Amino acid sequence: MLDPIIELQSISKTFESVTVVNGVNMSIRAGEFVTLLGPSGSGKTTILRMIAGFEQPTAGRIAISGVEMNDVPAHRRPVNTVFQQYALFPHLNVFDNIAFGLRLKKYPRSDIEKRVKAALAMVRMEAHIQAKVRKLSGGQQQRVAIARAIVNEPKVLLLDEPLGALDMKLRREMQLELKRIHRDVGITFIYVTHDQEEAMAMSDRVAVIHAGHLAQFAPPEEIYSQPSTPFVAGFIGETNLIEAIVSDADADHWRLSTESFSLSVRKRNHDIVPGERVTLSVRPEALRVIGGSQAQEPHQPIVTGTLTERVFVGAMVKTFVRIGPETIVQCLETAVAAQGRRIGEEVALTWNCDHMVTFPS
Amino acid sequence: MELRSYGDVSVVNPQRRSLAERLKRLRSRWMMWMLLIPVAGWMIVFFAFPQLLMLFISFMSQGVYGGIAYRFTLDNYIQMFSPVFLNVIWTSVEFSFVVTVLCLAVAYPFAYAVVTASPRRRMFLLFLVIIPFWTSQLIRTFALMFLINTSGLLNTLLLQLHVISQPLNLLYTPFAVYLGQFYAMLPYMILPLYASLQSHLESPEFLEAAQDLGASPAQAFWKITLPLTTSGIAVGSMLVFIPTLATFFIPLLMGGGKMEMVGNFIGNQFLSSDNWPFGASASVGVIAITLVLIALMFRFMKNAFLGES
Ligand SMILES: Nc1ncnc2c1ncn2[C@@H]1O[C@H](COP(=O)(O)OP(=O)(O)O)[C@@H](O)[C@H]1O
Ligand SMILES: [Mg+2]
Repeated sequence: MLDPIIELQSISKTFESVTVVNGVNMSIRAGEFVTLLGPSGSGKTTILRMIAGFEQPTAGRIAISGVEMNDVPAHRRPVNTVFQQYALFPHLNVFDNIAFGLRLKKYPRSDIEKRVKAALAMVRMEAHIQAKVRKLSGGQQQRVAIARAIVNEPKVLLLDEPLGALDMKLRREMQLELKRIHRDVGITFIYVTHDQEEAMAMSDRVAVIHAGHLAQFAPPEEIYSQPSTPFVAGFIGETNLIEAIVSDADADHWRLSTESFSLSVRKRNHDIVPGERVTLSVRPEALRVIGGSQAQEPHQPIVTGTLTERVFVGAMVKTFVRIGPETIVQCLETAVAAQGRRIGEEVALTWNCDHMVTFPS
Repeated sequence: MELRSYGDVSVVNPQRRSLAERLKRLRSRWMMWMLLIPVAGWMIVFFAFPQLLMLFISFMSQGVYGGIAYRFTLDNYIQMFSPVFLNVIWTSVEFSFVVTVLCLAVAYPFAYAVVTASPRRRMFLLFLVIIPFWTSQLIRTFALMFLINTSGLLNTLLLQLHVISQPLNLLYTPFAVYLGQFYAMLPYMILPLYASLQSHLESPEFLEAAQDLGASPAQAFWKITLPLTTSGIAVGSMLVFIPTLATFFIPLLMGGGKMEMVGNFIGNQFLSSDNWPFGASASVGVIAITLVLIALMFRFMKNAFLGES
């Protein structure tokens, strides 16, 4: 197992009595593509700025390659940043922007030229080497910003919502480009986004940030299938959150009751006792709508309700079913499976309990 | 600008422009002219006309008993290449250059300090810069003379403190002229620098990017802040250099007439030598120099801003 390249030990940041980052622990391996994912204002940028050295943590320790960084100023840290607004120097052309860091490190002239050209080739911008940065499009400026950072061969590349200002098509394109660049240069990427799809598509591991806390830090599949909190479940993809109470428990099952149904689930490692309130999370795509006579797997719950709404989303249909006076759940079915169903119809829902997560309240 | 962009929008679909829209366009044009007339009238009567008159006189001959003889000549322009006049021009250019550099050297750190000060302090410091604009420059020059003359405040203080035994002869020296001009021009340098540094430091993204790429604070200043505030430096330098080139009463009052600038030289042509045509050609010459400088400055700024290497 490789030593972590970046280690955050319970770092916190307080701005004028408001704590925006609260006790974050993270250990990032060399070469990993890690994404900080969270809604706007959750503290992602602040975490990134603390790693870059633009903010000092109020508490906690930051280490890069085992070296404590808390007292190291930004210009001496072995990291480079791709800023959200690119921050390309307007008085320098593309070449001089990219050469900026190398010149400060007093590289020989010929070496600088070679490296700048290689970096430009990496981002496919060789043709624009003498261009004025003001004349470049948003996507081209983005590429120059990436080249300006990677040309310095940092141990870690920090990217703060680098695609935020691009339109959707260009975004998709640049996501693939970034993945390729990550593979080609092999350095560690720490990527900030509030777009969960982007995070899931690009990362080796996703750190979900919720109100300054690290809610979960795991590979995308695990974040999706075993979210650690109802917030994570709701933020990654869509989910149905259903309040329940633990009505009974035996050696390896809990009996859970909601306002409209009850079911029995296999125990997980949570310490839940009868009488406690819990929240269930079932993904719309895990729910199956069945007609009354259709066969049903044994041990799977079956809940009946009224179909209240159907919405086409591409080739899928989102079906809303009222299963209790307070509870409407949504199911995602293929358009083919949903054919012929009408609003107001009585339907039954079933799902595999392995695809349901139980959170203690 | 507003009016023009409005025009552009309408042009997008010329056929379907409604009557109301046309009227609105017409009215906005009409409004524009109405607003321009007072200013344009003022400029024509008090600026363009006197300048044209000056240009006209500069091609006339000097009368036998002074005054203007209405005979065309180029003599006044040829006379500008006489060593006496070239010498005066050179003194003025050198003086203006030194004063501009002095102002820049003092104003830049000061403006930087103002921008980075706490809001309360910033208001106070800006207030100090703006106060001089509320007083006539002539009065401020007299006040400065009062401060540094042989029996003035400075000498009295130094004598009382036994720092010196003889009063210092400061007034009526070139030093006094430099001091007077520097003092008069300093706010004109500070304000554009303040504006330019303010907008640069307000968004620290470029400085952070420089630091991120390994620049120490000092390197970031020389490589980023200074080039990105060139516009402030250029504007401030113009605002100091051009009036200093034409300065008139400061050398007269504080230099005791010993230091002759081109402004004084021209003044003398009109007031004592009674050679209006040469005075006129000399002022046309100064205007020409000024225009060339402004053109050079704009060109320089344009290059600095479009990132040509
Ligand atoms: N320099 C600062 N001073 C005060 N508050 C700040 C500062 N920087 C960020 N914040 C606050 O910290 C919170 C988190 O900000 P940020 O880290 O930028 O969130 P994110 O990047 O996740 O959108 C926000 O509420 C923001 O207003
Ligand atoms: Mg942010």
